[in-house]
Amino acid sequence: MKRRDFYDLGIRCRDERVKSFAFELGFKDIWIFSEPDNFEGGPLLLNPLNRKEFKKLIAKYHSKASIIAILSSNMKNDRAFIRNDFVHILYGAHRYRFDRSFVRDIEENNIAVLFDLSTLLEKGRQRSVSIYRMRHNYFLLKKRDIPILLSSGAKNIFSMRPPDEMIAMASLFDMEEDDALRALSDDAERIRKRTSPNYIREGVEVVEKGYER
Amino acid sequence: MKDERFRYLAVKIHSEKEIRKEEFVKEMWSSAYSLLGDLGVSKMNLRVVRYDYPFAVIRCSHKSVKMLSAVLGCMKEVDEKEICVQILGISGTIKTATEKFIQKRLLE
Repeated sequence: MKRRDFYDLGIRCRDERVKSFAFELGFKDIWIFSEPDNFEGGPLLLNPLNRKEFKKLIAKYHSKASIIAILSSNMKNDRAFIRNDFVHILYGAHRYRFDRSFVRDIEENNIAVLFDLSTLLEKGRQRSVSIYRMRHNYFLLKKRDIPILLSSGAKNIFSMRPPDEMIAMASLFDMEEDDALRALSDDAERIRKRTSPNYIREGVEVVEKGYER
Repeated sequence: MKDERFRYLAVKIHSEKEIRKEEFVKEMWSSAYSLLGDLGVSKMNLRVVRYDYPFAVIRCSHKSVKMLSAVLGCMKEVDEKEICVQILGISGTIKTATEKFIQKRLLE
């Protein structure tokens, strides 16, 4: 059986022990998202209230951030945000139910959707509603073969979860095991490549640079 | 009727402070009831068979390993202490679960 490398690309914890703890849990690498207030380079998570604020933030950070994710809020705003070329990831698929045209937009703009599993740690009605929405959104995304990422969305070190448990948690919203494995390894690897300086666009990258005579 | 088959999950509990067995067991049952309901839990045959912080061996029916993994994944805190439960391995006997996954870790 092929040995896989796992990645958790949606950590929001600034603890310095987080990398070593992730390694102990079985991850090869993680991404730690910063917010504009504490941004010092690397992946950036934006949570704009409206389009005007979004444009300002993108103009300010698009050249500094290695990858930009948008925290999902509502479909109307998110639809406008994901059309921007500098946005790579829609963070969170539990805030609302996607519809078909929204999923088509996600596909056309080559956006990956990150499922934040930290929402499953809350008990009661909130968790039930989140599971229902995630199930709905997962099936729509799967139909169009859109890259899905799974993340613990950890805001502190002990909210992180090992890959096996994340796969089991994904089964709560009927995500198939193969898809969950792909979300944690192959799709994550594909998204990671976008931060490489050789990356140009999906399927196009610099393999070798020529030398001038 | 066939004898029920069990699986034993060797787990490691990560937390800032030590978690007592009673606290852990209470939270595990609470998490299981909240996630699966009475009917779901009745099919799991759940029991903590060994506990020596930070390691534990948890028994469940062989059909409900995935559900137990989800239950452990959904455990957030015990007595207001944040925890993360890591599954070290799954085995058919307590002896293997202890020797292969826990004692091996202690020797490393």
